[in-house]
Amino acid sequence: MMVSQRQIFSEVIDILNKFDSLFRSDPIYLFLVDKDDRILWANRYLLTQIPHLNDRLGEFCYKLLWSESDKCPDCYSWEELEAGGVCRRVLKKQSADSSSPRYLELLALPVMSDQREVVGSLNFALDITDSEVARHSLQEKEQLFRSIIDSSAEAIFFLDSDDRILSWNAGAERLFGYAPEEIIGKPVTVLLPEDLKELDEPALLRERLHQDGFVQKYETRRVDKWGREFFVDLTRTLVRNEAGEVVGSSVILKDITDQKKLEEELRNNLLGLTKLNELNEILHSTYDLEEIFQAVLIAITAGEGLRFNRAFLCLVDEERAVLKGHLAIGPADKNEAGQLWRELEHSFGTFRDIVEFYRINLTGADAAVNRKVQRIVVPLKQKQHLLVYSLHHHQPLLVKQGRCVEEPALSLQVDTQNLCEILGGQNFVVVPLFSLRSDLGVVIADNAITGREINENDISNLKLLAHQTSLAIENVRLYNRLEERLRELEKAYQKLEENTRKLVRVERLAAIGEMAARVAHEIRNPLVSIGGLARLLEKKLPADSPLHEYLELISEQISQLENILDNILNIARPKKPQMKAVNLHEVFHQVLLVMDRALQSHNIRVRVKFDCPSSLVLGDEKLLHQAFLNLVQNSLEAIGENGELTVETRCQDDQVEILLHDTGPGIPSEVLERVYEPFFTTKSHGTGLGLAIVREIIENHRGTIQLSSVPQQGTTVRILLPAIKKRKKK
Amino acid sequence: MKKILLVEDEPAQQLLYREELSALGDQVPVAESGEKALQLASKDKPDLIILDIMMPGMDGLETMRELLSQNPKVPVIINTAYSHFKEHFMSWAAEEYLVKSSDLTELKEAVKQILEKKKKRVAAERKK
Repeated sequence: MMVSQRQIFSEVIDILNKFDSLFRSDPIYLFLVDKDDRILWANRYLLTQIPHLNDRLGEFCYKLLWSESDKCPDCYSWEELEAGGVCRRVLKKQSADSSSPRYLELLALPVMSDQREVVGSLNFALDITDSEVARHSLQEKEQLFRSIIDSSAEAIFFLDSDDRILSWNAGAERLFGYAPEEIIGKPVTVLLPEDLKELDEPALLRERLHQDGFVQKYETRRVDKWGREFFVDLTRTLVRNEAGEVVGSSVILKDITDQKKLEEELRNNLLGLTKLNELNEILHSTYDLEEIFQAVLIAITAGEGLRFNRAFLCLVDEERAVLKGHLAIGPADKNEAGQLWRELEHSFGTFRDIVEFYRINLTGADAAVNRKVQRIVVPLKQKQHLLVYSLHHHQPLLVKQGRCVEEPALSLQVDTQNLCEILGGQNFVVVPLFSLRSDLGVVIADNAITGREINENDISNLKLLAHQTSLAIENVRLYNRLEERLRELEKAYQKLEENTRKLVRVERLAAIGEMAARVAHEIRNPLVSIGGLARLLEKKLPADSPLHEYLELISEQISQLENILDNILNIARPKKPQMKAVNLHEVFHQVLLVMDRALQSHNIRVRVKFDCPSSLVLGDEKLLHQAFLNLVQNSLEAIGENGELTVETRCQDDQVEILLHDTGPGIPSEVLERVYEPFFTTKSHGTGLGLAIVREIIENHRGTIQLSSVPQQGTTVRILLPAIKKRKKK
Repeated sequence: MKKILLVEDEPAQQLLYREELSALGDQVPVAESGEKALQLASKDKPDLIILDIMMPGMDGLETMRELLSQNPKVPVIINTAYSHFKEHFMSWAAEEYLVKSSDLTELKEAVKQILEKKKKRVAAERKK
């Protein structure tokens, strides 16, 4: 047996040696192993690869080839070889000199005895490390890819060229509810909502896909196994084979329902903000509190606004120390509500339109709620009352089923009634209106008609609105206070201005007077001499002398000059009025009497209309006489020849009104502005002091004088003097 | 015949007043200054003095004080171009305060009344 085996081996070795010399076999390892795993022969290539192998033949193959002490675990077994006739193995070996493994592909052929027993094996081995490493990494990548696809939250699947589903990842299963076996092979349209099928979305997608090779960021809807629709973001890419032919497409669907919801919410919030901004503009464009209240209540209830059904406004009445219902908005019942909301929904674009159009109608649509709100009166000292508590603690409070959620102990009693009864609802929210300076009131809002639950969002919106409203109210109050102050200031300013004007006039008059007086005195002395001597001379002349006329003229002219001097001196040093009760009518009669001849000679008609029965004023008769005389003289000069002078008195509360109207040519406006200036005159003679003196006198009597003139129609002088009130005898 | 002392620095007016007042039948000595007036007054013992205020040297009011200290009973008429001296308390001592005018009617009226009043007073004193 032993001999036979050796013989066999030696025969085989002979053949192998011949074979080895005939074929160039590198890089193939070729070696013969007996059943004890000893290497009996190795080819040249192997001998060159392992040093001193030739000397070590007969040692274990694992020892020689791998320096292992035991048989390689991944090697074939003799039983296997016996059964199969041939064994193929890929051995993985960690070589000592390198950290990366080496791979050896091993092909073993059994060496048989005559008795068909396996006595050894002939092994062909090839180093396939490079290709094996490449294969491994590909495998790893594929594994990774698969795990990515499987673990992805997105639904990822492949479609064949007929849009049938070829693969189905875990994400797809999660999103759509179908198990792979349920869906694979089905057309992708299974996942489409009906309306998109009708619109033939697949055709659209195909078109874009073939045009660009991909479709991405495409937002659409899909439907799951149970018919639920949701929003997805779709990415689809054409898949080609190595030849570049299209074999199908990959689809990635991302569930964006939450994102959509968020977007929707954001849009709503933005809408809300826009509305709030609009409301803010309205609130700040008015200084009328009632308008603000209206706008706010409308904002709380409008579909464009916070969408509450009803809103009630209560304000703090500081004098009475109560919180009192002021204004409300909302329908009385469901029927009316429907009508109203439809109306609002259809007719208006912007919030401003609504506020501008819709006025709270206290007797019409909003009558019922306004009757309700009027019944709310809560003393501020009731600290544990719902409304007062909200007001004082600046805290919004929600009432559910007739009980405050945050502070259940708070009272809802208003007089003998419960607030719920008054409002006609068990669920409502209370928000306070307050500013830095004061507590202003509260707003109550509810959904009594629709029964919609009041949520956190509603409350926070209402809070925001209340804040804006408070600011607006505070603004108006500040504005009103400011306006009041401004008015006071304006009054004070007017008074100051008036006084300044008076002062300036007085000072100017004083300065002018000073100079005038000096000049007047200088002139008076020579005048006295000239005039006096002329008179003296006249007396000494014989009665029939023709010189009388000349001397008379001289005397007259001198007298006139002296009058002028008197006038100048009067304004320079006005006499202190001697006040007593003066009948203006009498003074006028005297003046007209004095002027009678002059008026008649100029053919001027005088009309007297004394309508005020009692024309007593406190005054200096002489001064008033002088004033009126001056005025009548002015009128006379204005009229010239032929005209009419009207003197009128009227009673005016505690004043006597005196009107002098002449039919003269009138005074041009540029002249009218200057008529009171001392020494201003348009006449060729006269001092120009007339009206200045008149005004001085009238103002010293605490009166006013006004000149108005219409060209070609004449001039009217209007004087107001304080009347003496007759005391009623007891 | 009464003696009326005219105190006036203006020659034209001296002439005017003397002419007019003499026409009343009175004797009218004229002083052109305050100092001269004091001399004449002590010498002539006038029944009435007509006094101007604005004069070179001693002014009218001062002159009046001196005159009245000589003879407190002599009536003085202030006859001046200035109306405002009327407010001066010294001028209150005068019997009359007149503003000069070319028309001497007022002045002559005042002179007549004062002289008559003086006559009556003197008569009354004599009765006593």
